[in-house]
Amino acid sequence: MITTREYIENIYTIIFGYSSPDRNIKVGEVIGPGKLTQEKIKNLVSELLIFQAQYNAMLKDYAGSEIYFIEFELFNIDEKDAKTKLYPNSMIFIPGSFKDCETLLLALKPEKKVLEIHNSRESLDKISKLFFEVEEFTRRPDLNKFHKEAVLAKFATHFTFKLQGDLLEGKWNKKLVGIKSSTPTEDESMNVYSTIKGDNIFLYGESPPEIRVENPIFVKMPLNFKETVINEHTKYFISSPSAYFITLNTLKLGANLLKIANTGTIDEIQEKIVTYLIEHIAQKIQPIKELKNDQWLIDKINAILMNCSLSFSKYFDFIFKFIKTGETGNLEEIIEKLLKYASHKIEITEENYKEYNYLVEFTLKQLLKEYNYIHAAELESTLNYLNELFKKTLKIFIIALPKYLFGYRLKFYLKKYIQSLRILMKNKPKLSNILGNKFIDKLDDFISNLIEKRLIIERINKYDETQPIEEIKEIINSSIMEFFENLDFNISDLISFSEIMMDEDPSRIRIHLDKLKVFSEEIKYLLNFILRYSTINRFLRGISIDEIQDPVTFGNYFHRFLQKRVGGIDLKWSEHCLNWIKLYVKQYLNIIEKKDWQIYEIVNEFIDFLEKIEKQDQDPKNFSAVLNRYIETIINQEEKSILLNFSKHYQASLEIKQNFPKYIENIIIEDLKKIRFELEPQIPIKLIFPDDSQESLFEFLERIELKYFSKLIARPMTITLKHILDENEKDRVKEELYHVLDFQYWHNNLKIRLKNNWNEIYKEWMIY
Amino acid sequence: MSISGIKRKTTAAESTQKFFQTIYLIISHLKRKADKQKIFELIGNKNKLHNVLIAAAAIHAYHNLGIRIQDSSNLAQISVESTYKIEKMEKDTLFKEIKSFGKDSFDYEIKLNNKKLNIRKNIITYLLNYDKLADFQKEQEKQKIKQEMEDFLVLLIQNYPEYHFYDFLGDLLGFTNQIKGEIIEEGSELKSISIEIEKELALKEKEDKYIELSLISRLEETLKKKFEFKSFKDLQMQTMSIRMILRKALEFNFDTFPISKRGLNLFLHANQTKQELVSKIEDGLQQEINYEDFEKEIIGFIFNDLAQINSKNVNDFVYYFQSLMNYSFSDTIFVLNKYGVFNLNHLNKISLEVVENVIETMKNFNIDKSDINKLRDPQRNPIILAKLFYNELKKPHYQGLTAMENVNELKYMNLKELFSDDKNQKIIARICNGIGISPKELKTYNLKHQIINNRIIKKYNLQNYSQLLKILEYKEILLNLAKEVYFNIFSEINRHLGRILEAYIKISDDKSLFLKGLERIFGTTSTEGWVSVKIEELMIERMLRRQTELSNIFNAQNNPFLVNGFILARLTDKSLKEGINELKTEVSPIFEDFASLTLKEEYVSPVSYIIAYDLIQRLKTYEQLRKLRIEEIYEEKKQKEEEKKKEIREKQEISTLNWIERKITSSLMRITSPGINPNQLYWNEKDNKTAAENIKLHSELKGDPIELLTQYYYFALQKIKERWDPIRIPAYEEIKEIVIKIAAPILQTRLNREPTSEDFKLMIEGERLGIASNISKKIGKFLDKALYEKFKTHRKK
Repeated sequence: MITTREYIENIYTIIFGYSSPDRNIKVGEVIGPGKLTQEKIKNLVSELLIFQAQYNAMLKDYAGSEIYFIEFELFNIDEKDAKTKLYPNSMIFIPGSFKDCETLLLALKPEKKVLEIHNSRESLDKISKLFFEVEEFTRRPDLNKFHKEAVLAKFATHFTFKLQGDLLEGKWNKKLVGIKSSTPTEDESMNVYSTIKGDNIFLYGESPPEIRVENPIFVKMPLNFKETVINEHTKYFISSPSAYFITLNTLKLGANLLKIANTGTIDEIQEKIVTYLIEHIAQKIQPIKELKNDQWLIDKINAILMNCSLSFSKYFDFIFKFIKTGETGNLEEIIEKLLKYASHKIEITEENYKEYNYLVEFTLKQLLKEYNYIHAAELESTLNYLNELFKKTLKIFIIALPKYLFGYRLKFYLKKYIQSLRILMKNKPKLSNILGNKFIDKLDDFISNLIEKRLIIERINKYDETQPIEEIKEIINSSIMEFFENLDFNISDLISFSEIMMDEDPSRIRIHLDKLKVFSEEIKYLLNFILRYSTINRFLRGISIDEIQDPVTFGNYFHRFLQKRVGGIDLKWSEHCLNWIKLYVKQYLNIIEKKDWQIYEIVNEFIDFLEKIEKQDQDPKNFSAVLNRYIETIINQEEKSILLNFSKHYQASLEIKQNFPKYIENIIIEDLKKIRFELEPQIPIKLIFPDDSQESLFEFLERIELKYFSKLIARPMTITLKHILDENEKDRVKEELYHVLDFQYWHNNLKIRLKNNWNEIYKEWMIY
Repeated sequence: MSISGIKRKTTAAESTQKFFQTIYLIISHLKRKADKQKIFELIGNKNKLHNVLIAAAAIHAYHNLGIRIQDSSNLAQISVESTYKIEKMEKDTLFKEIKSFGKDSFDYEIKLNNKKLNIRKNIITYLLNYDKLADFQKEQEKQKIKQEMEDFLVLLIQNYPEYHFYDFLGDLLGFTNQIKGEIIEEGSELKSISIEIEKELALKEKEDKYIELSLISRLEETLKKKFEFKSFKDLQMQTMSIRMILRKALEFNFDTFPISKRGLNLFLHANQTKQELVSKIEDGLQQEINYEDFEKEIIGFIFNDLAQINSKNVNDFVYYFQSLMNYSFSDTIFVLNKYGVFNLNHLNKISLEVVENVIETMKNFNIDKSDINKLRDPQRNPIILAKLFYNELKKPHYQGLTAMENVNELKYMNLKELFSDDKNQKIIARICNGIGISPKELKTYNLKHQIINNRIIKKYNLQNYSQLLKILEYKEILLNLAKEVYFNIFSEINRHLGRILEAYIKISDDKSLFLKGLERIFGTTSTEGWVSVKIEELMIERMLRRQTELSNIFNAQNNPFLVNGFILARLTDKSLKEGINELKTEVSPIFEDFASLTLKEEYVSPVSYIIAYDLIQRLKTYEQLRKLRIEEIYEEKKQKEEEKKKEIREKQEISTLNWIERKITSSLMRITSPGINPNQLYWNEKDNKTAAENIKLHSELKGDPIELLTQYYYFALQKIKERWDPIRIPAYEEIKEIVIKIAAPILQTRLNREPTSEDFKLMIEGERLGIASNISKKIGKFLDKALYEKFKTHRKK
């Protein structure tokens, strides 16, 4: 029996990883609801360390910082499930380091926002220091890499348990009673200097589901500091576009981390049972080549499973008698004796006993790793565990099968419908056909996402084959309006349409078309490039503030600085972005009124200008001007004339952009009215192993049933970053500089507050 | 949360400071004859002084602290003779171990003492000559002293182990006593008991229990903080800190000494005596001595010195003693009180000559201490009692005196007069009778009284009888004070030895905590892996503290195996050599699952998390094996006990069946004897009782009582049948039913229900007897029947 306390402890998932200074050895441990093999643990930890390294590299570039602490909220998209089952509510990601020894902790826990982050971070740093000692200890010639790894792995396991204890006992929790100790990242030490608002888009097709933030709106907050302080602040702040970029990457990181943690919830013994059952079912239904309906398959599989249940029960009764034989030996020996005992006792007619033997062997080896001397009686609880797990897995199969078929059919009918739309489009003019197919692709993605949502949230207790037919119509009907409301075409789409509409052969201007197509992506990238820490902050840190008197001098210096940097990157539109700076400077050339400019004012205006101009350039309507300017620069007359023609088509596509969606919407609705979905019996094996790139029964079970955290989404709550200060800077500031990104969610909206403790650490004499 | 409590009173704290500190505990073994015997058993009668002290520490460790280098479970079945040999061997090993850690420290401590005394001498001389010196000379002298201090500090940093540096500075700056006082005062706070092992492991060690170790670490901490240096070695470069230390040391030492020249002279004298004592001890350390003679000689030397000072003035004596012992005034008074001196005036200007003369006079007049005690006590003084009784007799209402008796009309009682006139014989007899003493005795007391008054008190100008008594104890008091001085000097060269002994104590105390921790670890389930690790971590933290401490006091910053071998030895009851050897040669638990590798000295430092982890794992295995061994011993014992029980049971079984077999056989054999009266062979009340008791006893043998009762019954009937075959007896199962039928109603009376088979197994004594009695009667009936039939048949023949 499991107590509530143990159950809650069980929810905690802790993944700890260590990577040696030369990054040759990566070791770690996973403690969680699942039971994983050492090999799998090693892979998970290795993946985790790679994510950390990638994320840190991005942070260094975009924020001049490194990860200090991240807390994710684990949002359960299935509200009903969240109410009846215990799930972790937060996921923390804490790295630690000492010299080149790096550690990290990923932990899923029941409560959120209770940790005092500096304590937890200190603990990780301390463990890194201990690893440094272990590294020194293992630096002996008679210890090969395998042995060294084994020693490090031993300590990694030890420290994982230590960290688990610290978490369970709330050692890092904030003090709620008594004298509160002040930490540099508390609200009173931080100042908000920027906010970002955006929309959340849920992607249910991923496992676990993911979230994407779109349509960001950046707002600057005034800082109530002395001007000198704000001026210095411009050297260290994170620009809003960079913060947005960090957010996107953190969302991705959260999803990846949760995926790792979710893998950690798999019970590999259960996975083996599922594999065996699937193979067994496949073996039984493979010979049946007649078309069968879903209900037939459900009945058939249930019957097969019932037989499995009986045969396993019989097998189990035999082997369970082994525990009374009084046999002893080490684990290998006892397993051998048990299997020998089983093969003697069980009649050879029992068809599955070899597979069952394998399951027993795997389970014993998995759960009784450390036994050197074991008595047969000690196998009792492990064998009982296998027996219970087998029964539980059979139950999961029986419950999940209708849900699987329901999902399979929904996707099957959607595919039919999409195919019918494509056929319909084939008869339309070329342009409509191509454009229409673009719409259909997007519609396919949109509805697939809704089906996945439906499958995660809905409970399918009783399955009726007609149900998916009704359901798919309902889903399509109810979502078309929303789909068209949010549908938009970007510059790249319109260029593709225009290319199709051209009378001349577009290959003659291919080189230009390719360049025009990447315009939108490249200017987005360049905006980020300019406003990332390694560009603008580096420029500001490298130049004397006295040299910048106004936006003009700033623009000139920055243009020169950027020209060298951009030159090194292989981008087609870098010149266009350098022109932005010229445009910015131009604004101030003719101003007669003399103003005493502060550097922060110049930088703020510059950033606002860039954000505005990029947004303008991203508008397909404004692209015509860009296109015309581009054509003007073309010397080859033939190309020029084709491009001029292309420009006309682009202009026309803008009109299509307005009207075509309505046209296609009507087609889709009409077709939906006409289309008849019918029951379509299948060859049984194809239902569990579909050959149309659909998810198989095994994949479905693994994704939805075997992984415990499949309904959770990791949304960042707090990202704390530690600024990488050089030795010189460290001497000049009172304490570390921290950047914090604070997240708030409501409905499908999100708000991020960007803050740091600059004012706290700043000293007057820091100006240099 | 700390628990506040009542603090010890200052005097109590002072006494603790003196008598419960480790160094005094070591020295105390030199004070007791039996302990000295043990020391000499270990090192022989002639040896160097440091060996005597180390042996005292080894004896203390073995007998008082229970430190062992053999696992006691290994010694479970060893003879007394072998146990004695092992004890000798263990003490010998301990002696060698302690010696290896502390041998050189005595020389260092002697050198430190010499230097301290020399600096003191120079300061006192400077202060004595202060008025005579011109300003520039004053400065010159001061600089000389400062230079002497500085030179020695540099020497300490370069050539001495770190802890001696702190010892020296602690004394030079007056921190030692102050910090010790603080530790004792803090340690006197109430200690919490019955706390969880997790909390207990995390708690800091009780500092007052390991006062020398605590002192050195606090001294180090205080000095580093106060004089702003990070490490001992840094001081070689940090002249600033050295200057600060010197300035503070001079200030402190100039303030410590008395202002008066008389006082300074006494301090100088005491310093000189101390220097001589230290020099004698130094000789003892360098050449072999007979300790008893050595002790006698030095104590004699101190005794004479003390006597000489006291003959001049008691105040000088107190001052001198205070300086000699480095005590405060209150400490000095505490010691004097301890030896019975409550009034200092009693010792004033007493010379050994006076003492000898007084003793001689008393001897000549046969006066002893009890006479003085009797005479100084008004309740017991016979002269006073006689006077009082006489006065009572004189009172008119008493009418005690006849005219004859009152003839002399004595106005006052003068015993001398009374005894001089024969007429007074009667009244003397009357008085003596009244106070219960013979006239002769009264006369003797009167004489002794006069001699004491006239020839002792008046002659030597004594104040009273109390002072006289103190004079009689004078030599003993001085001897005790001399011993105090002697042992106090020892305490000043014994600090490091104290620290080493405390290291043994501390790790033994840690071990008991670790074992509790291991119990908790062994008791956790597989889902509570973190609990085990948490306990291990707490143990490691404690171990790291110990490693730091030991690497300092063993001066073993580059010797990880010495530090950790010592810890391992103490944790697993081994000798130091074995501990080190295990670390060097046995596979480390860190590698044990995958490689046969040992620890390598060059890859670890003495203070190491990894070795601490390794040690915990070794202790775990050791403890598991020890437990297994104990279980085996217990099992063996249990098996032996079982065998013994079985033997007894078999014997009992035979004995319980013996009587009935004899009875049946003899009765049935004798029944055919010629002229036998069968009545005498029939079953009677006595047989009934004897059989019932035997049946009851039989039912108490191991097994089901119903089966046992049936067994007895069946056995008896079988024996009857063996001797008289014609008789028909029931089968075993039938008998069993009969027994149950007998037993059921008896048990039902108690249970108020039908008894179950379980109830039969749990029948109580009275019930057994009741059933046995019924069965006995039934056996009797069978036997009587057989006897009768056999008798009848025989007669017919």
